Amino acid sequence: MSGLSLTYRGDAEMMVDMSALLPERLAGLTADDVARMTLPCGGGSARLGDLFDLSAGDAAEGLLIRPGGAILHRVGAGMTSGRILVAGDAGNHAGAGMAGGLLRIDGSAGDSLGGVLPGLPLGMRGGLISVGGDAGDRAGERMRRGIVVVDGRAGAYAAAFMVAGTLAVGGGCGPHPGFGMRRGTLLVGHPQDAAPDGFADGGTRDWLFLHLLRRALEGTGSWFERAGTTRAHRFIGDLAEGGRGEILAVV
Amino acid sequence: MLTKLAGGRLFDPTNGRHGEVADLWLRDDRITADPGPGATPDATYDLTGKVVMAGAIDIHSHIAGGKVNLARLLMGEEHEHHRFAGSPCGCGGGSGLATPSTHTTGARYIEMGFTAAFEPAMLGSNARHAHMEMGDIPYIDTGGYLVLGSDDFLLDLIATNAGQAAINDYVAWMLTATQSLAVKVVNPGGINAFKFNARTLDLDEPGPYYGVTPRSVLTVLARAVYELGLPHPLHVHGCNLGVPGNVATTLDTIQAASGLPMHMTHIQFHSYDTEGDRKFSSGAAALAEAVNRTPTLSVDIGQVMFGQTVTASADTMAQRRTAPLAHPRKWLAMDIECDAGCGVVPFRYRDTSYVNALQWAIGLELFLLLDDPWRVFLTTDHPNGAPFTFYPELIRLLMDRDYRLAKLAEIHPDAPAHTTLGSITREYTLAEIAVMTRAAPSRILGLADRGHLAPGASADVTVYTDRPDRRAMFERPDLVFKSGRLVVRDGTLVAMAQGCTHVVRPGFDDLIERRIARHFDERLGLSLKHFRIRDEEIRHGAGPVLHPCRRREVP
Repeated sequence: MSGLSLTYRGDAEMMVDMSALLPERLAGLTADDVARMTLPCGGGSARLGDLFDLSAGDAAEGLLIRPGGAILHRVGAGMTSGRILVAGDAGNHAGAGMAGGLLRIDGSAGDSLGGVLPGLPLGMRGGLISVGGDAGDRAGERMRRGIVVVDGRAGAYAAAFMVAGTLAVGGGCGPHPGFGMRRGTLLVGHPQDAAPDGFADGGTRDWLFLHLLRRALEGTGSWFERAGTTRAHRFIGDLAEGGRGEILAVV
Repeated sequence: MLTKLAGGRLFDPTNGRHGEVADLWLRDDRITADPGPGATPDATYDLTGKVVMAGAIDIHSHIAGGKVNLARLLMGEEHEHHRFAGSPCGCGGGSGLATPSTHTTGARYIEMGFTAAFEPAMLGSNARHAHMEMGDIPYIDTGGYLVLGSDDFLLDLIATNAGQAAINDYVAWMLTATQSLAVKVVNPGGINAFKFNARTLDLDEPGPYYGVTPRSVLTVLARAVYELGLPHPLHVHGCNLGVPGNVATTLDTIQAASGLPMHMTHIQFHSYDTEGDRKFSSGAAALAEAVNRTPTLSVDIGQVMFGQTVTASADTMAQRRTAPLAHPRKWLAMDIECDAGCGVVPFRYRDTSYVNALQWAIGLELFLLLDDPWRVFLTTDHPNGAPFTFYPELIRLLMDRDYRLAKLAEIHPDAPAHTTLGSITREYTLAEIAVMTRAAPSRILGLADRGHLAPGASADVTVYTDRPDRRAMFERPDLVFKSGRLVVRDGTLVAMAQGCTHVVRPGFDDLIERRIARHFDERLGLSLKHFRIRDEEIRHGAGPVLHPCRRREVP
């Protein structure tokens, strides 16, 4: 990758708000310019150059973040284009409110992956997020377009209040999947015995949509690309919100 | 520490001073008499030509408690976009405009020369949280008004004819347990009726479960407050808030008090008539006449100012009604421990909207038609009509007729025809502003040592430069002293100070506690022992400031 790379220097578990570091905003800036930015961290703020080692490169080509021991919140939050690769774990609100571009997290993500920033009525509006590890609670909350794919497990309230879009979780979800879901798809990677609360059984069959999804995920190396089937058990809901969303459990 | 404020023009209506030039002396945290020619002050400020007033007091501003915090959560983007670094003295940081965080609240108030603000809707079960937040607000004095009137225990006492004495004991017990300063009633009985699916409740309509009318809740509480001798009369948020034609209900509510003192709050939201094509017009003239005629009545306005804010109220009925108008489109409502309710609806008042423009005009009309500044208070019902930071602009509208007419010309063209605002020539004087924001609030809350400049009073002093632009004048005081300490210079924070929390504690018959304890055990999620707030919990251990109550009989 000829893009810009950031490597966290320390080993302390420092919390850093990364929402200012979006590829479209950094495009054209030199590494020195970027190093002079300040980021909220811990209880205060710090110069980016003091927190990270920077390699020369243009963020427009891609942004590589090596978090080390740091807890990086809001990576790619509000991103509209470009690519971010996190070689490790991301904190909360990764890709929250994202409108376009590609966010790849090799490790696990915290709460509100592809979710909603505090107080806002809508979450992710477009783009692709792929996570190699697990995701925390409220992944894909209030999402209305785009794809989030998680190879591991997701926590509670996955795809809660989803308006549209797709959340694909390989390892299954915590309690209350699809809570308050209006439309959209929550795809889970293993069979589901009973319908989740608020959902009705919609039968098992082969879904054309899953062929299209597989094609959209080509090149991400995600679990669904490797899954050999497009046959799934469908649950329709959340019935309290009109019942036009679905949970598809691959069988 | 002895401080001399030399040669300022004192506006101190409590002590009959309306701009006389005199020296003012502060010793430590109190105002003191002139110590005579031998004394050498530690600090002297030459205030020749400056306007000197006591610190201003806001009697109705939602600054702490459950719904304020819920509003902050709902308005997350506001806190994202408006963050404030602290001043060099290490205070005043935080975030938010309409829902400022605690430090920001204190900082914005003191920067305008306000040294006290009172939370007017503290629910019993939220009181501990409200007190912790108030303890965290720097600079200003605070206190909370306890919300009663939709709580099951009181409605049950009324429905079973338990008698006024039992109700008095209950009110006194609740005030003591929650460390409150006054009693407020919000949509009397209406919040309870809402839970039984009523969406309106008129003054003489029995509630669906207890069969108690709002009128009886009002009279019973007004009588309890009078007989217990609380300094502040019953603080009333009436029925039908925001409904066109509600001025009739408001006039009936004044009748319902039948001579007992009452404070009607944010009456701007309760003065709407149904004239005109749009069935929405000003009822201000009729209401102002009734208030002027009733000397036992005081009011605050709840002025609407244009811009983004958020409405937070215990009145779930009104909030559910306005929810479709929310901007941005989100809202919340919830029950609070069966005590009362809570609704939060973000709102943007626009001068291009007929209704909003008229609301703005009605508020100003009321200010200008009410004769007695001792009975009308400057409020925007923060944050419901506008954030309290709009006060300087509001003062300019009241004091400057040309400015007012210029603004009137900018609003929705149909609105001026439905108010009398354009024909009112009155302009408030500095002395009247001093009454409305200092002397009258301290009198109506029973704060004997605040809001005036006589020896012995708390050394809360604000110094302004007399500018023709009253907004600029009241926005940036030259000096603000809180408890004798200089905290603001030229509108900027220079030092930290802490206020205190004011409470009343009328006595009660201990027998009532047994009944209340049973109610807590059987119905509520908290035991009575934990409900009661200890003195050590107030202001990080400093404890409250007590104000005396004098029991009286209804004549």
